Amino acid sequence: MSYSTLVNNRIRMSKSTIIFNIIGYSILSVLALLCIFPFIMLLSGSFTAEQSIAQYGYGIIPREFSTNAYDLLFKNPGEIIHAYGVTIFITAAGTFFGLFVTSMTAYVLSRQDFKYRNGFSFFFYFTTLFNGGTLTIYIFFVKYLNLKDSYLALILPLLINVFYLLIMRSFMASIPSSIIESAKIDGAGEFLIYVRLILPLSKSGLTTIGLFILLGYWNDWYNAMLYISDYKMYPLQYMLYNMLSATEAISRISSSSGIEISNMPAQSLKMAMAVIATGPVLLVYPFVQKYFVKGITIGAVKG
Amino acid sequence: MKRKLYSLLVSVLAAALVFGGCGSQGGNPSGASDTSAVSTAGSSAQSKIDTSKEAEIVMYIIGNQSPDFENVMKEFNKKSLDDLNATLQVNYLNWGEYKTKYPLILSAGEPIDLIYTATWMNYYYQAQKGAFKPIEDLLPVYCPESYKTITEEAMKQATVNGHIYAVAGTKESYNAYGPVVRKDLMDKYGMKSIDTFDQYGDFLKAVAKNEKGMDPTFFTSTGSEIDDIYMLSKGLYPLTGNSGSIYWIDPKQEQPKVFSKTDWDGMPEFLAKMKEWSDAGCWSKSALANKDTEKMNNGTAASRIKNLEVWVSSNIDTKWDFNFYNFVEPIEILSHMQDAMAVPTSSNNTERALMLLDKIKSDKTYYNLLNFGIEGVNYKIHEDNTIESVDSTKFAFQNGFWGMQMRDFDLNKVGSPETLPQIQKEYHDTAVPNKFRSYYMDTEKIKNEYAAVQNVMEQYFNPLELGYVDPVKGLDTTQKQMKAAGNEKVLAELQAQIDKFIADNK
Amino acid sequence: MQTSNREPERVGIMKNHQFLNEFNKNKALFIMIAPAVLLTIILSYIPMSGLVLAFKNFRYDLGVFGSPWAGFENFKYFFLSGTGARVTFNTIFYNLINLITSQFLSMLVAIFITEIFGKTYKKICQSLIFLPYFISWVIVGTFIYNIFNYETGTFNSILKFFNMEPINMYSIPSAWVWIIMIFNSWKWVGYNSIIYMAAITNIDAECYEAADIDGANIFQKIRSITFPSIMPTIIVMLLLNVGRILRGDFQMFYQIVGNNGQLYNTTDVIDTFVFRSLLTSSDMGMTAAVSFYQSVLCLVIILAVNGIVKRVNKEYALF
Repeated sequence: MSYSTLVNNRIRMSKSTIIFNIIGYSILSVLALLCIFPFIMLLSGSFTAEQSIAQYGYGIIPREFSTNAYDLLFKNPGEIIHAYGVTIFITAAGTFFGLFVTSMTAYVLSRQDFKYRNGFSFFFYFTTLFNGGTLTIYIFFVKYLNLKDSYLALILPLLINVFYLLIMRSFMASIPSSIIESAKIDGAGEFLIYVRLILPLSKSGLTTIGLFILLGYWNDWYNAMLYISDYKMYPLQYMLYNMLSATEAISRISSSSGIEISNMPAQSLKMAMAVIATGPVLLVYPFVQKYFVKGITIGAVKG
Repeated sequence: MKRKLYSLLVSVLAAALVFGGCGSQGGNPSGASDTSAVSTAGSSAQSKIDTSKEAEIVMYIIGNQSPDFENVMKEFNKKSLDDLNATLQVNYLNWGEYKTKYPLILSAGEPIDLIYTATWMNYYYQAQKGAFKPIEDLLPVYCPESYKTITEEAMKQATVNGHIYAVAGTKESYNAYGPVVRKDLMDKYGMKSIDTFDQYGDFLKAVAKNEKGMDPTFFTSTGSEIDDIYMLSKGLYPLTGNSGSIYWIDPKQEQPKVFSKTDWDGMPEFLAKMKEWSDAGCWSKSALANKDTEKMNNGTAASRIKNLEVWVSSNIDTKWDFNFYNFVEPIEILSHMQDAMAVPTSSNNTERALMLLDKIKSDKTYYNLLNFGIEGVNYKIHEDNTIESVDSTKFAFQNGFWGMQMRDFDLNKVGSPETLPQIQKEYHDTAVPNKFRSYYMDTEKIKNEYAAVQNVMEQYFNPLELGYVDPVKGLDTTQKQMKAAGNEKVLAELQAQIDKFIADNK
Repeated sequence: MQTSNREPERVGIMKNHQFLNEFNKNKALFIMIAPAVLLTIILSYIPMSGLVLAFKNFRYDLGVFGSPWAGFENFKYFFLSGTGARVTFNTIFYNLINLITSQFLSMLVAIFITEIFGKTYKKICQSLIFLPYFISWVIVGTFIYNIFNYETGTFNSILKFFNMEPINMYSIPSAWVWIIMIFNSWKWVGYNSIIYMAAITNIDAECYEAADIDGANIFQKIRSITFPSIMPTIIVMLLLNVGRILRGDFQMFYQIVGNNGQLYNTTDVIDTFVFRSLLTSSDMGMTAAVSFYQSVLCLVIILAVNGIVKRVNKEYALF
């Protein structure tokens, strides 16, 4: 934008560049506005009194300020903090192993001289088409793998995502095979090539897929629902999901239960939940961002 | 006397089935077969039961566990260990997961001794599919006390293919249904009472005209219940026993003919009325997209069509007073299978589980512990015999234990409408039996058509009954779609079932 | 797995050492791929035996494998009265338009973000565009109701402000095609654009520098450098999405449309239809049957599309 940047990047200010930037700026700005607007509504909704939401709907600024939803969520702050801990542990372990297995497998599949790469690709891909269904997987996990109330039940199902695997493979395919050949001539083993050569060359791909795996673990409540019944092992998202469905269900069946439902902030609770669950990821995001948002002219691949 | 005869009949039948090899037990050691010899010997048999080995009873119910629940269970297990040498392990299926997990835990084969079941949890379907153990022979032996309290009607309602797979409490819910209305608004528009359908319409129109930003009445995407109440008020009976049924009969007929809502004689007239109400703004034009079930309780709706329980809870939970007008006559007791307990096929401790269940249902100290917590700590009982929760966030009342609710043990909550006990008594005294309440729709043979028909109703009938489309043309379309979906096959099957039911219950 | 009578594809290694080299090389690669293969067998292929449920009349007491066979009985209801065909069409239709709009927009955003000036601006933009990913469909659904409900919705308030007649969106099924398309793109644009950004970042900077020296303008550079370089990624994304063309995003449709029958004709997809029709019966065999149907159709479609891609360019194919 500034003149100095232009000079630094040695880009000539041609007419087309100006037109391009004008279009780019307007499209991105409109899009960014469309994206931030609902998020502000969400934030404001989480601080709005339930009654006010029912009466007037959501707005940019809370019509009637209230921290009811957060009070309810943080009634037992220890629980939330503990659930955060569980989620962070699962996410960290899952992302590390997931990224390791995914990148290593993707590397093998990307090797044009690996004869069975298409066969193996199909072997993996097939599992996205056919699966045994929740019932069979549940029985298998609980009865035979004995994974009930085990953190492994939260990590294993998301460890290999075939979509990420194949995207990673396409990233790695762009690495010139001559690099690998020359490393081999130098006598490097396959694993060494992967660790020393391929991983550093795939930084942007690794960050992207790593981020996706991380988000997958961070947002996962479904596996916790299936396999975790000990509430001390609940990850954050499942705990929040549970609170929400409880408030909703309680109001729905209030007739048959004896639970008092007065002023259950079901609507604002939804919003507050999203804020609490999203917050930490948003804080981490800028640090991750630098690996895939950078001007290509600033210098792209570092060898 | 009658009940004894009935149970004898059932148990003989069951024994015949088991020995004939038709039983669904499939070699399970602790099923009905090993106790069939004891038969209906009564409570004397219980003293002989061997309880020397400590047993842990695993129970699954629906709800979210209260924070104080563990303390209460410690108390409970001390007592049950003394009395029955058994402890109870209660597992809650949370509200967010019960729909997915309930069938899973029943299939995964982990030992469960007691589980909540109900019509709305697909009791009849699951019982037919072999999810539960038949307990008709075990009940008189291991549940002697509570067995006495089970009415003949409740027994019949629990029967599936000649077996009893679940046992309900004695709590009574009534079929009373009608508008729950804001009292202050009735006063404002000079309405003394709402006794007829058209009076309710007048109220809705008055609100629509004068109260800006308030829905006169509201629905969610499942459609309105006005059609149900309209048909119920004409004395018709829904085959599901609940609102939302597609198929109905007229129970007054000698040989009732099954018909679908859309083919009913009174339907054109009703739809014309709904069109008129809808055009007058009696409900939102986007009512079917609404997901807020709390509109009346948060002051954005003036009324809704519901039952006694909603009326009571609205009165307790909000700052407004509400009136309730029942449009249904005669008053009947709803199926007891609305809430019940069953023994899953995977149970290893069936006998002790039933003994414990009996204890809970017959011993008030056990009952109160589970339902209300520890006296003084979790609840207080007032002089007027109402019960108050000390801190409902620590211990929620009757949290998931609906399957064993006993009428004699239950107390009205503080803040209930003053007229409630009187109304309850009136309903209890005037309730008439309806034999069709023990009929259940078996859609196994017509599951394809039934699923298709349900879909058509949602797509075409729900907007139609809210007057969003032309009543004459809309009804015609709906009927055609119903026909295409296999309505006639469903009707024929249900008719056959009803005919058989009548013949069996002569 | 290795057989000596097969001709290796690659060339350039001395013939005498061919077999030995091949074996040694494969051993290392096989060991590296082994963890993923084992995990996939354990976690996916063994439970896949549950597919038989689609052909079973499931009974709790007999289990998945002990239950009696039902033939094709479980598949029947889906095709009754033409609903199956309609929801299948809807599912494919939505997946196709969502694929095109959402991927195209993501690509556009990725190119703009990497190519425009202003480091801070593009970082902020990129972060903001990512936000919708975190807003669950439940909340999006509530917002949509708040925007479009007839009496108090924002949309009609705006119309009224300009003295226009209010519109009842919920009685115009065709409008929802657009609403769903827009919200789908909105939600995924940030997420998907990251993939394209990563692909663009991978491009060798020297290419651009060479183009600069040749005096190419920015549009020319995008056309002749950026596009060809990210083509493999574009193709992979397209193929991956084509492979799930019969699976609807259940949460999206369910939270936006709910059980509102008025909109079914244009918004009902296989997953919502199955969810609704089996809500009351919860028949596991029938659920499995529909899932099986989706899987088989997906398999056929992906095999066909992948085959075509393979003919055009072997390296672009998924497998």
